[in-house]
Amino acid sequence: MPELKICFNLNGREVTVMAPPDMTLLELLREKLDLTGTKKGCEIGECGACTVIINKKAVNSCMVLVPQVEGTEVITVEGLSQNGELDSLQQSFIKNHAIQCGFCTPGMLMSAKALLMNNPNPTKEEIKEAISGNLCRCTGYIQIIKAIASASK
Amino acid sequence: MIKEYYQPLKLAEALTFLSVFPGPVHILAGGTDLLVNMRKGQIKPEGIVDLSKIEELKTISQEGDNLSIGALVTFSELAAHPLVQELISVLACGAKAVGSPQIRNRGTVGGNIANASPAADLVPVLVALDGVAVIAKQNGLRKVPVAELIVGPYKTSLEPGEIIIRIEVNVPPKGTGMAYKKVGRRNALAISRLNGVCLLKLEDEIIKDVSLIIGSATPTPHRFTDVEEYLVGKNISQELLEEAGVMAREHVLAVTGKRPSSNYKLPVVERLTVRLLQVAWKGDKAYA
Ligand SMILES: Cc1cc2nc3c(=O)[nH]c(=O)nc-3n(C[C@H](O)[C@H](O)[C@H](O)COP(=O)(O)OP(=O)(O)OC[C@H]3O[C@@H](n4cnc5c(N)ncnc54)[C@H](O)[C@@H]3O)c2cc1C
Ligand code: FES
Ligand code: FES
Repeated sequence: MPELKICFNLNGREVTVMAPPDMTLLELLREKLDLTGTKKGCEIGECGACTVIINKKAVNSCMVLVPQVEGTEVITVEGLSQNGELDSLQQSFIKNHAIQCGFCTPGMLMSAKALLMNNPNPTKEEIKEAISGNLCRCTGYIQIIKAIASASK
Repeated sequence: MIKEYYQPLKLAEALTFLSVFPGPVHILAGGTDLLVNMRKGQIKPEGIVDLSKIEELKTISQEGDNLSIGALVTFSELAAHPLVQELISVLACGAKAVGSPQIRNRGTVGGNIANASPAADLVPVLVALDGVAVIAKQNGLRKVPVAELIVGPYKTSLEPGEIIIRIEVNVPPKGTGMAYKKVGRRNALAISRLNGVCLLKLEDEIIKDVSLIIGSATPTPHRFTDVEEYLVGKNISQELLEEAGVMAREHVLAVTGKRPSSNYKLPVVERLTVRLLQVAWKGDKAYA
């Protein structure tokens, strides 16, 4: 099948792309749009490394076909910083040592961002719930939870 | 190779497409099962009809004694809906038990039924509420109880060209106690080893009505009518609930036969049953 033309808002900008219909959003971001901040892990919805925000909700970009983003607003980790300045959540991750190898970090940030967009003052339980679909093999999560909590204050 | 990807805005268009497309065509809703199966190469669709833009399949509304849930409603939307929280909180519990926030933001009610996994977390709740699936085809509608639509593990009686459009569940009478519990290896992203749901209506300590399902324990989710019938009309007591636990255990053993996992699973079936009944009886405080 020929490629389809898909229009959506990506990190605040309207974009139009041509993509085969069985391409995932994850593949589109990484292979066609050079946005490699979004990480490719399991590709079956289990690790959360590929998390992006679609219409204010955290989703696994490996679980979305490109045509499904038609008309939506997508935010990737590249969309967090404004005018070259890191988002307060990103700064909080750095300050709280919430990053070791960094592979899970973009996904963690996007899950946390989606939480804060909908709930600016989450409880610790709500923070844990929000990142329950994101695996981290390094940090043991404690610093990540702290980083999100202190960014929400 | 996908030859055709169709993304209709109206149900009627989707039904027409399904009725004319010649090759194997798959319905796509949230994609959380389909994309995994495509990735593993278990499914190679020639055509995809993507329902995710059909707004008319995303509504939740009350119609008399029924709550009607659009097939494309996601787990997150279901759990957060005011009517669900007010009238049938156990549906929200089932929805919240699924996967992770990311999966709940995509996965749909219709997909949970159509996928027909024995470990599905929402399906047992729908069955406990006597949920009926409303199924559309090019030339009409049919209604089938969810419990009958699922005919085996990963098998439904859906025919080619058919789309589940909504599920109608009974709103339990006021004062009905409800309980839901999932038993998995960990909280998030765990496939249910067991799950269970119970609805309990008492009148002066006499059991008027009860609906009980232990899910993931049997190939298809169904109400444990033998246990239910034993309970109805009796005075509720801890001893009675213990008896129900033993009966549920025997029920599962009778359905599945002895399995390597029985030694582990059956005792949990028993305790889960007692616990569900207790929570439906006394509220969460029963185990606080
Ligand atoms: C990481 C991960 C974790 C998960 N955890 C859980 C869990 O904890 N509990 C649980 O229950 N499930 C879980 N699932 C499974 C899945 O999320 C659910 O079964 C979900 O309900 C599927 O819905 P969907 O909209 O994504 O379906 P899709 O993947 O879009 O479709 C699934 C199947 O149903 C068919 N279909 C979909 N909608 C309709 C319709 N309206 N009419 C007819 N046919 C239709 C499709 O053709 C396909 O065969 C998990 C999945 C993943 C990837
Ligand atoms: S790569 Fe998408 S969840 Fe793991
Ligand atoms: S920092 Fe290495 S996986 Fe999380």
